[in-house]
Amino acid sequence: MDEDRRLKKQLLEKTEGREHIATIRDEMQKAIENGAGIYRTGTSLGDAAARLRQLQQRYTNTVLDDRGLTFNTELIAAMELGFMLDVAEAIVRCALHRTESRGAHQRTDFPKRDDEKFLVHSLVHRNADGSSRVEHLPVKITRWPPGERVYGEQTQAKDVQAGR
Amino acid sequence: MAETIQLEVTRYSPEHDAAPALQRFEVPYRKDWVVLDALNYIKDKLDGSLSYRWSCRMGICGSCGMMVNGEPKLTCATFLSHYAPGAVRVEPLRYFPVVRDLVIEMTDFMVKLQKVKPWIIRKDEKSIADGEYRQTPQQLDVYKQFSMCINCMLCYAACPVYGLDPLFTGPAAIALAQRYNMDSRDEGARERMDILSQHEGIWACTFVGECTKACPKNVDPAGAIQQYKLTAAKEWFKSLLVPWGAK
Repeated sequence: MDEDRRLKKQLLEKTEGREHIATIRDEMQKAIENGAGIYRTGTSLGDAAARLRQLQQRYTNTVLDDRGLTFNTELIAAMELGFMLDVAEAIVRCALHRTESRGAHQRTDFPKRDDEKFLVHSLVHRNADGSSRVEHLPVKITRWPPGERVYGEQTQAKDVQAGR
Repeated sequence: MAETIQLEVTRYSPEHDAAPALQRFEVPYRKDWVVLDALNYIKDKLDGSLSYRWSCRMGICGSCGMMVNGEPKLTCATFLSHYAPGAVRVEPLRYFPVVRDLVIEMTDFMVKLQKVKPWIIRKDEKSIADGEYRQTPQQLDVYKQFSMCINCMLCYAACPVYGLDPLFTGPAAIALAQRYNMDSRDEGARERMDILSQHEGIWACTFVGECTKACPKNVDPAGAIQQYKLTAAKEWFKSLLVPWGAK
């Protein structure tokens, strides 16, 4: 019921505001694409984080065209956008914190993998003041132990080393 | 100035409107745009209150079916260029009740789909430990075409019989029943026959063939129905000749 009231107040019945959901969504996509793609750096991630903060501000200034209660897909899109902004923030926050390269997270300013510090899951928490912090959860290694992933000629070199 | 194209789109809000009406929008004309791109442009830039279903944009989810210039189409697979210079009329799928704008009420189809039991029925179920029900590629080929159905309901909007008789089980549900009837792992043909051999089952079909033309996945529901009519007729004769032989 509280959630119902929040949706009504913040989205359905809100008449002030001038931002369109689609505009903010497009800009969020661009910010993440440019700043937090597979290859990222501290600078690109910092830029993305700043853009996301602005977009989160602007999100509070959105206004819906659709105030109907029947199959209101714009309301759903608005809720989804709020969640996506949270997820985008979490992605950027963790990527900034993780000063190493691993899998699809390639920090060109930290090209080496660092199992010492970062063989961990990252958990993002929201602080009371609205900021966020990253904590770690240990990784349980089961069937596939982590190893260096190499391609092409390097694969053969690795096989030779392993005596295959 | 960039080229544009006109879209005429059905608008209907049960809260405000007595009846559906067309609204005109002008959108950019791009050769690589499908009708769904134009609808998304309207929703994102012109009027956020336009409601329609869509998801995958690649002809597999089956949710963006609408009438485009009077024909049932997947709007994600229907190019604007086909209708240039326009206008392009976009309406909700025919023969279904309209919930809002381009969104139809699909309960009727969902109920019918469930009635034909579109799943593998076994007299004795194997346990998981006993492994899979195996099948050869030849056995797969027998029904594979019918298994391509994505439940988009274009065939219902194409079917004049469904338009006249809403009780008709309809093309997709019958094709899916046949998909399981012809599956070598299935033993449920008898159970399905009770539903299919009713008047509203296969016999209402007059073989207009529009369903097969409308199908975006080449399922050929019309073929499935005629095939099943033959099976049902044979079973009926068998039951006359050897009434005790019913399995």
